[in-house]
Amino acid sequence: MRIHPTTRAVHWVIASLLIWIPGADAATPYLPNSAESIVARLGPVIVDSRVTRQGPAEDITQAREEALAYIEHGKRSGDARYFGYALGILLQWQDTDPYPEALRLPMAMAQQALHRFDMALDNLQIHLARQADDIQAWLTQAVIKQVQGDYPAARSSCEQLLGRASTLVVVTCTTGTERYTIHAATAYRALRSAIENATAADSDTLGWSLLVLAELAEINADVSIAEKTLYTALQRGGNDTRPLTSLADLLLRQGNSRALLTLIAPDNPLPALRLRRLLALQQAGDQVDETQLAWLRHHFAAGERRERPLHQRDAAIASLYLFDDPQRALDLALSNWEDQREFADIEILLSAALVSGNRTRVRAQLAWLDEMQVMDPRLDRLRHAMLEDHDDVF
Amino acid sequence: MFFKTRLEVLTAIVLWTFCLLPTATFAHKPSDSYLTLDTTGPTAWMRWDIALRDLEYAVGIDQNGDRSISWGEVQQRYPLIVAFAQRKIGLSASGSVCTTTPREHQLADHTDGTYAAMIFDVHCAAGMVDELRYDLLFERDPTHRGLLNLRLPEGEQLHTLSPEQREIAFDTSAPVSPMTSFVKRIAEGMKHILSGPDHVLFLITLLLATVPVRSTRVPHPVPQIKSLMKELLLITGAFTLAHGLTLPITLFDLMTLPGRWVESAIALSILLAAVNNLYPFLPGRSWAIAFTLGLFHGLGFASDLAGLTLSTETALLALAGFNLGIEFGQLALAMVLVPPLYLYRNTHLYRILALRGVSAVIAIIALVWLFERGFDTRLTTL
Repeated sequence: MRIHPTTRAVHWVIASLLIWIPGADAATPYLPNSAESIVARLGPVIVDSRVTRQGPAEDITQAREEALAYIEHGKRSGDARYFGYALGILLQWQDTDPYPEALRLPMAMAQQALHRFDMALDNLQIHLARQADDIQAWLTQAVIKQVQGDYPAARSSCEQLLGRASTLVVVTCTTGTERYTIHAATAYRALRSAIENATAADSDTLGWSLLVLAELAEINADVSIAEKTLYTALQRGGNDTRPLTSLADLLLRQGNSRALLTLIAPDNPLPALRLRRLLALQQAGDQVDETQLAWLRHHFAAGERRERPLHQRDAAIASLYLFDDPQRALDLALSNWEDQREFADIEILLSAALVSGNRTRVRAQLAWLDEMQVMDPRLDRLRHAMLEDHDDVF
Repeated sequence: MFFKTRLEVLTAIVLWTFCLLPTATFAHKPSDSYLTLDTTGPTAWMRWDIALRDLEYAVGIDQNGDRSISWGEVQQRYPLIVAFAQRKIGLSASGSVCTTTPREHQLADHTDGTYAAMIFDVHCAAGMVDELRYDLLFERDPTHRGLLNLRLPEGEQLHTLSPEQREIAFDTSAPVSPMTSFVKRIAEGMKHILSGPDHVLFLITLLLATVPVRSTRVPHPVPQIKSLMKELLLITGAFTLAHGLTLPITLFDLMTLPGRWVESAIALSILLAAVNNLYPFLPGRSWAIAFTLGLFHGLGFASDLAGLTLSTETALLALAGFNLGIEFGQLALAMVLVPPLYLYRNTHLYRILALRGVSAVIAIIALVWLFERGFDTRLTTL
């Protein structure tokens, strides 16, 4: 159907104003209708706050347990507030000299979750110098090094687990750390074998192992296996949001937006998942709800007022694909790159550079990819697209 | 291309109508509070939004331990919440401590859930407040941040308060020009009208009826844009006038009406206007209906005008600006709504879906609101 220019102009005005007008203003005050109106639903009780409200835990063992419980729940739910609660408990001893050793690992884990990687590494170094057998400390260090893109150091941390941790932990750590720099098929077979031989004691590790296995399967171009593995991880993960995020990304890459839309409800509490739902709507050619877009903008705007925003990668993805602002996406992706150098961080960085036509700004990152010998078909496609467009630049 | 068919345009309008309604959304992000300190009026005031879940963590609101917070529980703990908030903020003027008095408390939805939205008047014996100290939640959650929107005579500043930066000093000595205040209030008037679902639904109902002429009982298309524009200006002007007449009653405490009565009357006005679109029964032209029913809307809560508590020349000028903003806001809404209606005025789709369908939906919403507000109960989550 041919649309008259006037009609088109009207449509444009409607769509533009929808972004600004009422529904977008989420913070308009209101009065509930009755005293019985439920205005907020709280999450599960992690630590009895009736006790903690009376004052900080004075017992170090209790403080450690409480902090670890908050960190674990924060990781499963994707809710960053719990990391803050953990940090609040742990910082009560910050002026104690020396700092209690029992709290140093939980402190490093909270700092890792909050992307305070340098502080976390300092604490881990001190802790491991005293407790070289601490499996969780080596794992945390390996994960930070891998996120920072320091693959040799990450591998070195994984190697420290040999003889200390189970085979599944060692193999998952190693293959997870090196999944972009080693032969994916070999790594996949090794990890799959380790999973098949896993014991009951490995149940805590299994969720993580399945996520790495799915990534390896995808790198190995076996997408259906990757998808099945993620569904398995999702089923056994309970309310863990990590498998769902990985599955959403995989479905988006496959163009299977319909499957994604059945998995994530419009009011999902996790911004990362709502973002992926909107991307799926866009991919499916459906109308993207403007109030949901405004909601995301509001969410990222609050994050950007922090000195260390936690979700810059997702903010960059939203800027590039939903807000149609590739320049802003590139700025955010470059800022994110200072903290995180995982595959998804590289991918959004190169995509933003390509779309915004600012390839020169990622020259150093491309050199880094070459230096680290990162091998991945998707990244290769992005790199080639850049080289084909601008041979003169590189 | 946003919409491919007429149906999509009209569907979008209907959907958009629903988007205006407040929704309870909860998401995950680090803890923030949203603080606005306004020093541009004759007296300073501040609005402070603190997440209910943060207040539960710090003060405790969930009295029955069912992991749900009811409005009754918030109200019950309100004195404790206010005392907690007042302990965590320090305001001063030229080194002398200022005091804060709570004036209003409501709720507000941010992306990570429901917040207690409190308005405080700030009283400083030594002049205008020029320093702020913030200490909310840092002890329990060092990742908490106070997102401060500082409104100064020379403009707005954004600051982020953290354990490392708990204090902000600022210059409020620049005099407030009445014209600056006037212009700012225009923007606030627009925001006031466009952010109130009640006002917007009422106006949509009236605007739907502008395309068919209301002088006869059977609607038929308007032949001239000129007469349509005249009708629009009459309706929006009548509503602004009515709203502007009753607003000062609330603002200057000239008469106190129970909130439930006012809210019910507003719901009734929407219901009457919507039913009138389906079965015309109200006497008079659209502008007369807009004026009569619009009188109730000015009696609603007007937190946007907080700070205009003194009847000074500046306050009156600001009030004029606010009303002008209300007029502009309505015209903006009309600009969005009326052109597509005008384009499709000769279609059955318009008469059935836009005029009758949307009016019927609005009538149902208004009826639900009327019932809920009248009987102080809850039927839906709308």
